Amino acid sequence: MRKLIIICAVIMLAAVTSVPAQTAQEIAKAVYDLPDGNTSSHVAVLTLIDKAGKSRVREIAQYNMKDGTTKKCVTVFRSPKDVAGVSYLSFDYPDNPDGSLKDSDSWLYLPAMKKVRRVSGSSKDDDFQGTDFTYDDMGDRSLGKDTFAILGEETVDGISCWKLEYTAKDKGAKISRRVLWIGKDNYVTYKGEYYDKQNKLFKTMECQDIAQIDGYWTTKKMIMTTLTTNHKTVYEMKDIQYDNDINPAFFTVSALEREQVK
Amino acid sequence: MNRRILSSAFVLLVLCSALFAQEIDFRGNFITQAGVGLPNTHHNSGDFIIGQTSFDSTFRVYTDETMLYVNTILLYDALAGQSSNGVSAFVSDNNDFSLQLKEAYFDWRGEVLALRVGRQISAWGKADDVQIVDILCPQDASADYVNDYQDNRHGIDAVRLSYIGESTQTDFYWIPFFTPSTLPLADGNPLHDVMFSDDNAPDSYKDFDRPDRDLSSCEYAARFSAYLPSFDFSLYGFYGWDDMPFTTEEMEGKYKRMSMVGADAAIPAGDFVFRLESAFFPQRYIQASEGGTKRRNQIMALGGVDWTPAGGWTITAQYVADVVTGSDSPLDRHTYEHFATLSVEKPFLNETLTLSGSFAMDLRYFSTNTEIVADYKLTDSITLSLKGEFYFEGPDKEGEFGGYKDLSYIALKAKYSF
Repeated sequence: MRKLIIICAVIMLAAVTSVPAQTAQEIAKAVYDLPDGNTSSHVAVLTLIDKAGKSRVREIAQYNMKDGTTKKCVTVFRSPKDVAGVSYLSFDYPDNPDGSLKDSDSWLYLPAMKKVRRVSGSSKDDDFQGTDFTYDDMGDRSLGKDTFAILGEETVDGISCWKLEYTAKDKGAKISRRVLWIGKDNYVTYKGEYYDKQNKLFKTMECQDIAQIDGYWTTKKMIMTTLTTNHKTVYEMKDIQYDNDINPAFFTVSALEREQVK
Repeated sequence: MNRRILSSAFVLLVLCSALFAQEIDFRGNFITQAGVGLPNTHHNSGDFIIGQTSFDSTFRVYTDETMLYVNTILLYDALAGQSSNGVSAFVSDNNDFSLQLKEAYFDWRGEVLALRVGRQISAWGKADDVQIVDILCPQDASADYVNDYQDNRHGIDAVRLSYIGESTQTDFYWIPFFTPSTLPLADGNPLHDVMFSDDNAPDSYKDFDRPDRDLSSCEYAARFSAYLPSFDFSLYGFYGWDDMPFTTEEMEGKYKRMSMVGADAAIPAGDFVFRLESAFFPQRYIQASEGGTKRRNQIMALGGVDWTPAGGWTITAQYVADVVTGSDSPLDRHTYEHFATLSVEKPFLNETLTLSGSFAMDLRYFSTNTEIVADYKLTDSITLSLKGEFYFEGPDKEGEFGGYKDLSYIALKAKYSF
């Protein structure tokens, strides 16, 4: 009788305390949907460091705005000086209802050419301006590009994380597989490993200085290291603001052409 | 004396603006370059055909919704090949120094209206390095063997009123003063012998009969552009002057009226962006071979594609057709001319090294122009470049690019950006 009571108590306790297990897809969606305000802006300093320790610095200003389901983003280069004023406007759309990808609309303004150029919005696997980050790493990589699996659970710097695997559906993709450590409490990425087509570890990402700003989780420093070249990029954010008053006119081609965003 | 007063007033204006400005931005570059004629360039073989040092500075002053923008270039030409069009630059008497006022305007932006007043550059069209609807700003034809196409635009003195929507823009231009192209009039300019024979070479821009400076000689232009999810398109209209002079039957240089309507579109599709552009010039003046002009309708059209596959490659191809009505005779051109271009660019070593090549061929006589460039970033501020420019005649005739065959060169260039 006493044994039955104990078993019943354990079952009841388990029923009360257990939370329905999340699927890998649900975790990936929660990461993708992590709140970041209706508007936001920041300045990013990217320090490129080669294997000899020689460094180069890029500084960009970035402004973001949500317009319905469309994410609008304008990026302006402040340095190096030979590309200062180059600006890039993109409208990112959610995937189509059938799960297929919808290309972004993108425009590039080059001050030397004095005109805005429509550019392809499909390829985001390329490196961003010589850094170790790709355009996808810098933004929100579409969920439709990958399949997902939970590889396990691990602790990173005392934070309990899921080890989530993103496998690219495109078999020709330069990065075939990403393994990201996702905080179980906040869905923030704490570190990452990127594997090439031969499934060899290609680059690693460390995330530091993670904190809430105005209630939004923010990673203020990321270090991406390409192992084959021993080249790394340190990405640091400053002047971070959320839900701030950004002129909607910034997100127009006219603003790029008039060099209004700086 | 007048120049000194004008210069002083201009400096005073900039200083006063800076004094009351909320933000000031000063940037630019210093470039020095030298190029030598290749062995197949006859009298130019082994000679320097480029020898320039320039200081290009841009000054932006921001106050509230307004920006003052001034861009000047001070240039020394060791070959004494600098020329003036009488508007865009002061050139020293011996043609070795020039001071160019490329742009000087203020720009105001309101909720839906915007105004830009002063000397300004507007680039029209979707074409790369090809002039079809891009006729608003004249070209510096004395420097097109040295500089890229976009660097050769002259600013125009204009008032530009814009109506700005969320995804559209409409611009109206009033251009009170005509700005002509700059011609290679200086004897030291290697293009001088290509463009002029000894017996008809003018000495100065003053030798050309220019439009009067009155209200009846003004130029007008308009553009409507839309930037949509599936494509961009623009419509253009222009009534003004042809930027290049014509030789009359009395062998004098004279500028002629010109009008144009045009349209372009850019259509993204995956890794590709397709570009279309066309212009119609009704009853345009065309140079006749024995001097004088004939009026004909002219249509120019371009189809192009940009391809950006993975790996940082940028590949661009274009086909351009240029048609005038009527027969070839007595025109100083064919009624149907066409050419194609191909360019490829790829960065290496985390974008410290960029290799690029471009190729153009006229499809009537198959003359060609090939340009190969290697740019290496020594630091974030310093870029070193090695450039080869090659012109070849067609198998049977000189063709469009064969006329430049003695200007094939290899050049070294150093650029410091600040």
